Amino acid sequence: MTGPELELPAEARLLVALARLRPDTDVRGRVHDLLTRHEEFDWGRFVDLASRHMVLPLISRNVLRNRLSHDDDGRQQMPYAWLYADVYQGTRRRNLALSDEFGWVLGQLNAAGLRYVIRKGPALTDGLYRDPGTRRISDLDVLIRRTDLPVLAEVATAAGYDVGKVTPTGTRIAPFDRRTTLYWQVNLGNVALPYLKLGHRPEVETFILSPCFSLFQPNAGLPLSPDPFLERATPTVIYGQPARVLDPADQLIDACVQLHAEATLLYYIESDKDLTLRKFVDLVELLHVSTAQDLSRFRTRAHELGCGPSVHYALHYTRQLYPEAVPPGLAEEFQPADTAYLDEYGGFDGTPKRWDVGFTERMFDRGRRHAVEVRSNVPGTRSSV
Amino acid sequence: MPDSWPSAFEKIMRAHLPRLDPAAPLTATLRPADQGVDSLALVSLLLELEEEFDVPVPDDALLDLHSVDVGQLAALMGCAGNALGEAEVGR
Repeated sequence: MTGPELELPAEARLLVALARLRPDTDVRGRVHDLLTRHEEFDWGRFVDLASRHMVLPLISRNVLRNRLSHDDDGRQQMPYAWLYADVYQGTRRRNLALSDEFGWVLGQLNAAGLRYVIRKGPALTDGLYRDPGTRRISDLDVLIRRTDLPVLAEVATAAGYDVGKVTPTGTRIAPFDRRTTLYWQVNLGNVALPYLKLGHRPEVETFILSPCFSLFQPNAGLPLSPDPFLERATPTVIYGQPARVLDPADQLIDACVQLHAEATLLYYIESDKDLTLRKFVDLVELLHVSTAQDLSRFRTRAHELGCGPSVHYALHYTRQLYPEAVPPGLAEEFQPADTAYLDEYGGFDGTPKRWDVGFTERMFDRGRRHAVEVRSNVPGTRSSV
Repeated sequence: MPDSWPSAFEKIMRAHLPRLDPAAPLTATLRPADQGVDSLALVSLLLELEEEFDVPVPDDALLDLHSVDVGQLAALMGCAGNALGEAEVGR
């Protein structure tokens, strides 16, 4: 656990320490020290936190690889060792199943001549984490031009996908009501309702194809066109198919902007997906692989796009969790004169409010969503987020 | 010449524009957003219009509806006012 000790409960400190693609070289010693100092360590809370923060697969890999379940004298120091093995293998199985399906879908999108960029999960798990057991993928996020939605829709429909939600019994995809469809189309101009297909297997309930048209929120006052990002996209191979991902500088921008948006949108707060540690880990790893040129382009573009406040938000809070991961001066470069927004939520919803507690406290507080003073207007399934 | 609308259209519009004085005309250029109609209320308005006139708003028209005015809504429902003729969304 490098950097100053965070003022966190022991379970959260262990979480942050183990949620790293590259744990400390002395991770065994540090884990032993922490557990020795906290005999009443709550393992149930630790597993709950790791699950909520979507880092249980990554932690599982680190527990297994470093045999953290046992101390240097061979005594068990972490219970439920089997849990971590099952989570790691289960995540791997799930992601391999997703890669089969999404690889086929990518082939169909390519055959249709669609111009697209793959964002987030598949780009990160395949290209950055490079271990399908460490990062659970939710959906295939596809950045396209809005005018190309009919092409994607045709491919999705032919592939057996439908816009809708899984029925309570999980046996079919039921269409959304007109109110939900209208709300998304009128008010959420940066995304379309996702396309779903039942997976018919325990590790994949649903395959989800999520079209989006912009990296930015509709009311952020930032340029909405995906064209510059499509034009700069980097060719690669995902799931065995030729594909394109955001170029490295744009991946950093996307990670920062999404982190800020999701941390403050009411929709995400209500879904308990606003402050997940995994988003910060993603940004840490993206910064780690960035060259000096990538960072230079990132800085230039972030200034040109006007997304400096979001970049500052993301880097500022990432530095609190992983101080060594953010290059010196980078967060300060984007710091606006008024930083009151750092403790606000609801701004992108048009209803800015302030949190009563600080960042690290609310990040690991399971009840933070009950403290919000306003509610999201967005109808439809939360699980599609 | 003041704009005139089918009575069903005007009734639905006024019901969703509580800030509009009942004696004030429902002009073609009046925008619901300027009358405090938020995102949720706009959806409710559209739903009611769609149901009344049995006309679904086309998908390609939905994006521009934040700044839509009365005349454009009427045109979408196929009941444009006399002063506007063929008003179009996004003009």
